Amino acid sequence: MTGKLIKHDLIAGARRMGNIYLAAFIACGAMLLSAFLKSGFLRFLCSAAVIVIAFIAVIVTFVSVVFGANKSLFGREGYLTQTLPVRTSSLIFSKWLTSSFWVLISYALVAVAFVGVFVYWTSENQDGAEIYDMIYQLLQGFGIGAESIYQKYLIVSAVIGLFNACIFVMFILFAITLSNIRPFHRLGSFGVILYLMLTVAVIQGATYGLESLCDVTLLIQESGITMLVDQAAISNAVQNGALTIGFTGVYFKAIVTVFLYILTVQLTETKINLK
Amino acid sequence: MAETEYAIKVRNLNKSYVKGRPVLEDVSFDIPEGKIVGLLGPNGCGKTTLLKILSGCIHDYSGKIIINGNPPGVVTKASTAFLPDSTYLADYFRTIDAIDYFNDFFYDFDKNKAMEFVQRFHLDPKQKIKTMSKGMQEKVQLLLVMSRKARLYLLDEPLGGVDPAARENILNLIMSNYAEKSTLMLSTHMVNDLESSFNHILILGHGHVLVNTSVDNVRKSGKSLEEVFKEVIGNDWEVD
Repeated sequence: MTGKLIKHDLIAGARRMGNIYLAAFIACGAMLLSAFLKSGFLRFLCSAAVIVIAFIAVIVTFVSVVFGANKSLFGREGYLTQTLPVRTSSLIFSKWLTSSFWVLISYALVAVAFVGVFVYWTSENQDGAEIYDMIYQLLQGFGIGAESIYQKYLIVSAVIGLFNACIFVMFILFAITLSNIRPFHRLGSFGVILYLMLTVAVIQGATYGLESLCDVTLLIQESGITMLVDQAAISNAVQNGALTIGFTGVYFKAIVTVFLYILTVQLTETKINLK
Repeated sequence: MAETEYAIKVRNLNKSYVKGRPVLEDVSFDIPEGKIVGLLGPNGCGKTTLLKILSGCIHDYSGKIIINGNPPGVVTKASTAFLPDSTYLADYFRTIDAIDYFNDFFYDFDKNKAMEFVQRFHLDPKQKIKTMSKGMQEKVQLLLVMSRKARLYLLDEPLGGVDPAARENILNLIMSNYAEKSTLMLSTHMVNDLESSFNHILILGHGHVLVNTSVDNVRKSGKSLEEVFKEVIGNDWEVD
């Protein structure tokens, strides 16, 4: 049943957000076609459109996640979803998974748009490789290590970024649920934003507090990636060209996300009144 | 009578949306299996709330509910068909999408029967729900519910916004298509139109059960359902 829920939630997301991704696809096509034109202005216009549409896609995706989840779980569509013979945990899990999927797709669109536009503008005079070398030499000028370290750093940062996006989606689902139960429902749609901000603020504050108590760090070196808490060893490795990424927050947010998921399921099972 | 022989068993059910203003107050009743139950009562007496609780749309209540031997949950939802009084299908759904959706989730859903209803109602399976009139939307929702072989049907005002000519057709459709031995609970204000269809009535007033009896018992008293309805509702208002 969870698989069927995921299938239908993905379809619902595609129906809600399909137009903006179609617009992005058309803009990319127009950008590629404009390469055959002599007009630099048209090429600029198409490239700018790709970037702007990619950013709009992120905003539209987040707005759709909020309104879609609210409507389908606690709005009038809730009369269908809440009467399906599925566990509430499956309902929430499906919403979280599919919403995260669309958020990640929108992030990927922004990344592809930037890389695509960069390649598009630099490929003609083949100065892309030169720019890349220039950036790398600039970083080496700061005394930072080998190319493989940057590659690993970028990959790990991207994975953590995507992980944070999925966590943020759970915060959104929790805020939506909270804004649909008594007495928190009084603030309406504004409540979703307020409870989301409060959730983020509390968890971010707790993360900073935890980091000062126990700073778990990912150390990225040529030889590999290691997890350390020994500050002296970390400083030593950094002096030898290693890069670091704080990991305490990742651990903590993962635990908080599981807790919020359980709490969201519990609140939905015991406190929800469909209007 | 064993607990499983009751389609619905409710004990000490309390529900309020606003503190100090109960919609249902200490409600207790039993409905035997296989009955066609008329859920009657004035506006605001708690009929819709009761149906929402039984269907699993409202979770915030106190009291005990048993549906076909189980508390409300995944098991009861699998065997309960609920028709709310408002449109609940997603705007992007076409009739065929809604049918496929029900077919995916409800094992008791008969897709062929649903397609027969689509033809009978002259509906276009590819028309989007949002482009349909309210009457057409209600027909789609009704065909989805009546294409299930559920053990319990909960219908909230299925004849509410329907013209008198269509009313009889819809009533016939409900009565001739609900699964045999199932229980059908139908809320309505149209006591006269439905008197011959019911074999059990549950009258709510001001959050309390005022009458819970078989229609045979009502007839034995020599009164019509409407007379009984007016009598008890009148008393209920007097209490207030």
